[in-house]
Amino acid sequence: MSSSAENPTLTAEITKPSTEIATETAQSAKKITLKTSDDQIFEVEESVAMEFATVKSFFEDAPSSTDTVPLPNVPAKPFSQVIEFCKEQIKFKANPDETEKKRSNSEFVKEKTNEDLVEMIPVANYLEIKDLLDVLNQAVADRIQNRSVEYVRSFFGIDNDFTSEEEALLREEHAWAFEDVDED
Amino acid sequence: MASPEEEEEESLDQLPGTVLGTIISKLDVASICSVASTCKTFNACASHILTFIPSFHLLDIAPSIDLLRPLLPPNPYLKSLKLDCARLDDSAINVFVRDSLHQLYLHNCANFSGKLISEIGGKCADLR
Repeated sequence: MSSSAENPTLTAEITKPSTEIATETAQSAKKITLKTSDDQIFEVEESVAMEFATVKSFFEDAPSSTDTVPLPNVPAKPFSQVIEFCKEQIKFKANPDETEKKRSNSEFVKEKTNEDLVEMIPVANYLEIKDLLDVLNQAVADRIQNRSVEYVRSFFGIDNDFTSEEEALLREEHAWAFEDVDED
Repeated sequence: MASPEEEEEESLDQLPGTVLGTIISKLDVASICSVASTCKTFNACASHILTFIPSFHLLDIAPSIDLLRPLLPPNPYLKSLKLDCARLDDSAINVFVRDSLHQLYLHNCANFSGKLISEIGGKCADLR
């Protein structure tokens, strides 16, 4: 019974070596465990986690560490979107294609809400993911260019801390800049 | 410099001051002025940016000298300047002419004298 059960496995190994190797690589790919500020656990492939300069230097200081890496400034929601971006990015490391990378980056930001972008910025900044930060900064600049003061306030969730006199003075001084802004 | 930056981070909860600077520096001049009116943090950041942006292009409007002066603080990195000069005269030279300039486009400069034009050439040795 035991030999007949083993045999099919052996046959499979011989006849489909490529599948076996692929499975083995996937199984042995090291995972890094990361804990977000809201106590969510993420298991991320090492190659993806090494895109986070902050995490990378953590493992450079403690190479054999198997501990969970705490990310005290990183909430789960923007973090999962950051992982999504980095997974795409590492594909381009193996196979550089600037045109395709640009298309992929613009696709990534296009489907994100204003809130998503604003929440991802501090995460990208904290994890020191320069490519993502560049993409986010440009995307945010594009979205607030030529928009009204009110639009920009709600975009960033800014509280207006000017007195009404101060604001009136600024609006008068910059009146020309508010002409022809895009509708909110 | 450290303390005002820390204050910026606090007041905006999460947006780091340096990142905010990078975002605002990508905007055009009109949008920089517009975001400067949103809150004190953005206002300070926008004023700071005007002291190091490499290009200042303002052709949608013809600014008066009073409007232009606060927008062009000392800026040793200013390389490219484009201006509509319909409302400016020879007295504006001290506001916009910098020896750091490599590129200067002046539109509608009928109010400028020939003497002024040659003076610009003398002051901006690197002009191409």
